[in-house]
Amino acid sequence: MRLVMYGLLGAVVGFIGMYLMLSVQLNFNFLTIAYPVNVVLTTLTLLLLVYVGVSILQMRKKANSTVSGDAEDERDIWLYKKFSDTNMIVIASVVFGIASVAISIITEQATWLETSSIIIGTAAFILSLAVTSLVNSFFPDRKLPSISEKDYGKKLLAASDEGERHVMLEGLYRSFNTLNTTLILGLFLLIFYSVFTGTSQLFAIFLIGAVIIGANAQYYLLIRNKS
Amino acid sequence: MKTRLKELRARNGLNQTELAKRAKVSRQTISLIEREEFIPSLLIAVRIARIFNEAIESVFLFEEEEIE
Repeated sequence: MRLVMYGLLGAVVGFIGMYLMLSVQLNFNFLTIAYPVNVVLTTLTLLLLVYVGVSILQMRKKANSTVSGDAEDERDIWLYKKFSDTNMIVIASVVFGIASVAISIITEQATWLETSSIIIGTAAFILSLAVTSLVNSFFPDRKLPSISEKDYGKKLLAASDEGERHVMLEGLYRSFNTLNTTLILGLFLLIFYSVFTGTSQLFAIFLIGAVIIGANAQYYLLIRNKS
Repeated sequence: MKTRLKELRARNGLNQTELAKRAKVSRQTISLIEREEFIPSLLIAVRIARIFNEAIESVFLFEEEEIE
């Protein structure tokens, strides 16, 4: 019930916000600000990558340190939290990287900016894989799958114990609900945007719709077949 | 469910990581059980109780209304 209320509230706020924005800037042309936005996004991605690189070095150093007693537990907790934070940052850097590559290619920016965006975007993707594979070096005695293995997600879930799965379930279920709500809200915003600006967003609407249906079908078919 | 895990761990001079290795679970799972945020499966409960040479019901304490 609370989720529905939040969804409706979000839809109302989103509608009013978008309506006001569009009524003020109906003739807004993104091309006029594409260059500074591209530079900011590329720089931001680079800064996040530096943070991720430093975090990887810090985690490696910490993981190789010899400690015992309560300090061993504290090290594990530190690594766990740092790993989660780094994962969050690396995902943001991948998204910003993709966005900067998209802007530079779609709006045909200068070659140096296009090249920088592509290099930094690719680096973000590679670093995201490096961060994911770090967990194997933290727990060498556990039989965790390698990121390059087929069905990595399934194997990682199978290698996790019941406490870890309990935490993952809580996080993933909340994330799943948030995604469902925000993607539906996104569909409405795209419709309003298309209507008010005359720029069709139908491709994005179909794409997001297919993602929502696909993800939900995957979830409900799985729980249905476990009856 | 209440648990005496922290007390038993301190008495036996075990940190969470060592207990986790002996019980063949992650340190996170031990931490969750200690914070009473997660009720372990019977298998893990038996393993933990055995490590401390205690009966399950003296490590994991249920209120009467929880069992009824």
